[in-house]
Amino acid sequence: MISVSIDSKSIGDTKVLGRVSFEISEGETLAVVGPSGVGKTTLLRVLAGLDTEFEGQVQVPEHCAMVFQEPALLPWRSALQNLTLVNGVSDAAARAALGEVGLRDLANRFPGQLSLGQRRRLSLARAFSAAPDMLLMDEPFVSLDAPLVEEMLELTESLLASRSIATVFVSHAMEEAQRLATRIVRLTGSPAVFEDPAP
Amino acid sequence: MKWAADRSGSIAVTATSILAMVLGWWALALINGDPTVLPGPWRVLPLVGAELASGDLIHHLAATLRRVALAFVIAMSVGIAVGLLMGSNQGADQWLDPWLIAFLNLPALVTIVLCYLWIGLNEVAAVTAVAINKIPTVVVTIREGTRALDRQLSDVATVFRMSRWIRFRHVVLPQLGPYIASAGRSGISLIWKIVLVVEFLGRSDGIGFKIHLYFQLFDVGMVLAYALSFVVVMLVIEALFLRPWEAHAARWRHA
Repeated sequence: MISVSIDSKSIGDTKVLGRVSFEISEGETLAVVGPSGVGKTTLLRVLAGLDTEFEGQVQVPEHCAMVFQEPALLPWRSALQNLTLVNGVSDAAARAALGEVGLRDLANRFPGQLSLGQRRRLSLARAFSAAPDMLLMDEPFVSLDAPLVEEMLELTESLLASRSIATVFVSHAMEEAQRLATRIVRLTGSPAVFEDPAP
Repeated sequence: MKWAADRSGSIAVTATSILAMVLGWWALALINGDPTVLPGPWRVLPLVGAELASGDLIHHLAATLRRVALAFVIAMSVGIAVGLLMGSNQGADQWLDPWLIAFLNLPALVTIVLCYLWIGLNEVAAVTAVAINKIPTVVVTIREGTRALDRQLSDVATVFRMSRWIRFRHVVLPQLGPYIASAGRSGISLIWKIVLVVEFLGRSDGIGFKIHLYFQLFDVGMVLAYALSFVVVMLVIEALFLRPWEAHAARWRHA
């Protein structure tokens, strides 16, 4: 269970987030949509424990994984090592995770030898192979072309469906949110607060 | 194949460059015409051979090499640790920066003389003096490398709760690799030059000691024989250890 009650979050003198509260249960996916720069990534960084300077309370599970806007892989380690070293999973578990995202035969390649789509899939494999209780996804399909977005959405849908993870998915695209989320909220205003999405 | 071709091309260029240097020395010696001022390679090489045969050259090379290795290991270890601290901790950076600037601007000769005066004319003083001279430049390079670490990869390590050692070994160290290589390469050349001064001033063995001895005898040939022998040793170390290590560390870039 994720329980979030943020009163405010400032960056420097600018108040970025106003009052933001929500709860998410296992297997639920909350999509947070909103324009670029509104504070979606800031919200995820607070949830991930990367930003601890805020007013309010956040209760999240210990075991967390995150899919970043950029794949954020270790370029000097192979695809397989990007899972085993970062997550501490066994070779077999890492290979199984790579198989799930269609990278079984590319386990020994360095990230620089993979296409952008393959790197994104590797990033997904890294997050899901960690077997997290909470998954944070920060616009994971940004800068991909339409067919690749569709491919990644299908893959993410199937990965989420086969697990019971409390997920927060952040995007500026309502269509992506509608595909993946069980609940959608819109982050808007300055400082940003939640409002129900437009119909 | 392309890499092998590039490598053989690079070796050819290096060999040609060294040959050009030797030919230049040869020509200058011929033009000068006075072997007491600038003896040619044909005079210096037999001297090297004779010193090798007597065992003298190996003995003094080993003494210098031991000091270089010890000072190098100490300077790199301390320099990397302090550089990491200053690059990652703003408070530590502010506190230590004046010290760093002071040591950067402290002349090597002053450090050497003070170490000999305070510690004594011994190996500890010699190696300490050399290490103190090199540590600040390693700190500056590693501090820059630490400041340039990829924040997103640090975030990945934090979110996925990587252990401190795994994080250092697989996230931080590969990013610092080029900075460590740069500090190491410039370090080893600076260190051996300072070791010579240290030996010149206060040791009874080593290349610096021999250069001091032959300087007093105005024997340019022997000065060159000992100095060039050590340059060759350093070139071999560079070719056999530093370059292969750099190539190994950067193999992912060329994959």
